[in-house]
Amino acid sequence: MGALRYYICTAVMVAAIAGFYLGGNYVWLGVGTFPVLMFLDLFLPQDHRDYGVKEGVSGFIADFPLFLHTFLMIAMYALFVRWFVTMGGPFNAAGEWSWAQTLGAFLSIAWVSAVPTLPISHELMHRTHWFPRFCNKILNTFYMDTNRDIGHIITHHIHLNTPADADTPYRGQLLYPFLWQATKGSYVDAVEGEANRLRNRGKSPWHPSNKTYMQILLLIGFPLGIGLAAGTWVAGVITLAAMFLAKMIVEAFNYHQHYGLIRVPGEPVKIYHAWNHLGPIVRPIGVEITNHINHHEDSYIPFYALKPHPEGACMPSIFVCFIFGLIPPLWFHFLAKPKLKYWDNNFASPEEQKLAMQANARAGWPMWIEAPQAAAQAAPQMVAAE
Amino acid sequence: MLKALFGGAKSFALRINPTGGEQGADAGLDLVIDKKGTILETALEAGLAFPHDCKVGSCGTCKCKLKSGKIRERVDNALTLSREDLMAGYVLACQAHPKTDLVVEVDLLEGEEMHPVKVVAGSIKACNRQTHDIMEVVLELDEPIEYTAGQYADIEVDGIDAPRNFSFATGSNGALQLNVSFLIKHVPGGAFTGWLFAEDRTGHAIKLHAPYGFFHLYEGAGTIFCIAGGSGLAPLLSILEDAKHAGCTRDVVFLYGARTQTDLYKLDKIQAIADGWHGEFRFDPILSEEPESSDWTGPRGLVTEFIAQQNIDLATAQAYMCGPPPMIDAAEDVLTKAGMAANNIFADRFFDRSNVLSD
Repeated sequence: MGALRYYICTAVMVAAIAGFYLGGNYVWLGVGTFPVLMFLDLFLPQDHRDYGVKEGVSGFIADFPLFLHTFLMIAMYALFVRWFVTMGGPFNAAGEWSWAQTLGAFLSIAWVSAVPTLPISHELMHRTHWFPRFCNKILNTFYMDTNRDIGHIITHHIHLNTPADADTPYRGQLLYPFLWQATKGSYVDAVEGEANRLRNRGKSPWHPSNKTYMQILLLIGFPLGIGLAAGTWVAGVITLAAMFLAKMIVEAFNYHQHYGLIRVPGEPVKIYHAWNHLGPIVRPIGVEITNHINHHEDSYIPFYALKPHPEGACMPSIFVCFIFGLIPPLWFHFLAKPKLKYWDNNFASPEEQKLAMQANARAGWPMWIEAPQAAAQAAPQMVAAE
Repeated sequence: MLKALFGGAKSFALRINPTGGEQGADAGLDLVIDKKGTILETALEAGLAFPHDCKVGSCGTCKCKLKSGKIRERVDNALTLSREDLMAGYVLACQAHPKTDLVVEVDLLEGEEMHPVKVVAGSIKACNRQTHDIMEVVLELDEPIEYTAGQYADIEVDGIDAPRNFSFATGSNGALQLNVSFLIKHVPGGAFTGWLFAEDRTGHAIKLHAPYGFFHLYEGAGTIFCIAGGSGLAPLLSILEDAKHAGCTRDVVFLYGARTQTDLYKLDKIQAIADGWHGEFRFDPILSEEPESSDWTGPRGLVTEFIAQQNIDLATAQAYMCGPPPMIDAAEDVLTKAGMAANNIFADRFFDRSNVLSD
């Protein structure tokens, strides 16, 4: 049963594919899964179960929808092209343009290109075999970040929750500038990482094997190719716009997974160093990335063996977080500040408490820990370490 | 063609030599590495304290020198390793899959010795009940083994589905050991301990796989702060016994959590270690369920409630903990909150078979 939950990813893709196969207003089917899933995630009880999916047959069952996903994304785009070629796309027989269908197609592609593509892509990125890693590159392209794996490895894993990690929003940061910070960080890390990789191999950064060329070619060539195949620039623009929106959703996801958390550079990652979103829908559709802190502790752990940590740092449903994140006063007042105050008081080490209060001072937030080493002072007979 | 692309697992030989050590037949560790496995995974599974951190190829902690053989890099090592490192033949163990037999050289973690993992037959020499649910089991081996105090062994018995791991309960004094002992707690419903506690198993044949694990005494000058619960005494007794033999002069504070007086055991052994210890040695058993009316005058409560009351310089102390994971997690939390650096806290968590994700 635990492994079968992940087929919710496949179900979302089937809806999007069916939408483009049927055409007309059915192109809304893909994004139509969003409110349904949000409703279920909000109103069903939180899911704290450790399903104990094991290597072997159940691991294979859990893995299968991840590999299938790449083919389903390609199939969806093929049917998107077919929708234009055989049904005129958002144009009816009289040649009139339907804005509703254009919007539906755009939102459906953007939604599935971000969720469940990002978490599936992330999982495949960390696999051993070349094939899942190849799939990862394809999937990354659907949200405009072909070489995301490079920055993810050389900065995010090592600098998690420190200022050096572009994927960690600082306290007081709004969602909108963070989207730019994370996007820029991801691209810069990938370009610089590739250049350094080639230098370390004794080659010029301009060597033909530089993966940045591939990224540029794919990001230009993919929407261009879709437009050419569909026979209209409209298809290409919808594709490009959907890739961009997907990228924004992906980075917004980062915002909510790591908001305001603090770690002393070089110190080990602990289970409280990422926010948990333990909704019953987001866990399977996110292939457990919303409770992925064990992955930072040990990246060899497959997604289906990641344990939920209700005792760790928890946020409410990620759908709530997304909505609140779009409206900063709601985000800061109801979620960011109270959750971080709890985190500082209950999880942070004394050193992290110091850094947290410095971050609060920079953000103009209350100093809710007046003496960051309060915990140490509570034990007067111990000699606190400096 | 398909087989070449997606071909099944195949194994290769992996030899790990300590940097600067003798390169003779006994200096390194010989392992078998699966084609799908990495050097790091293989070393860790063999119980070697191979240096590592991120496991994704970004920190460079696990770099080792490839002396011979070919590898496939999961993530291009040049993303992390410098040109000088690459030219010198370094690879990232966490990202290195074998394409041929491999020989690598590595700087092991401080204090780690290269004891080869051996599979040795033997028999149960003695079963000595300590409490109602803890038994000391002494094994006599057909050939001697080496281990570092704090490490553990897998014990295999015919008819039980998989080996169970237990920490050595005595020091090795750096010598080969033919007799080894363990402190084993009866797990209700457990196949292995159910079998062991059902009747006197003296003379029964066993197979031992050892040594494994990283838990050991690290160099330092500050207090050795031991915290144990249940059968978690074993590796700490082993460590302290060896430390005493080596002439350790550090102070020791030892908190041991048990339910009642009837759950206390090995007090004579602890007293023997304390006698003549070259420094202060304080042992405090703490009882959580001792009847109020009993004659017990010692501390009562959970062991974690007494951690913060110890007069210890946390800047120099090291904590060594062994016992049930919830106790260790709670103790770790108290110590960290009190200001002890995470890299001075060492823990050996006890799991029974019900905690194991996959065999």
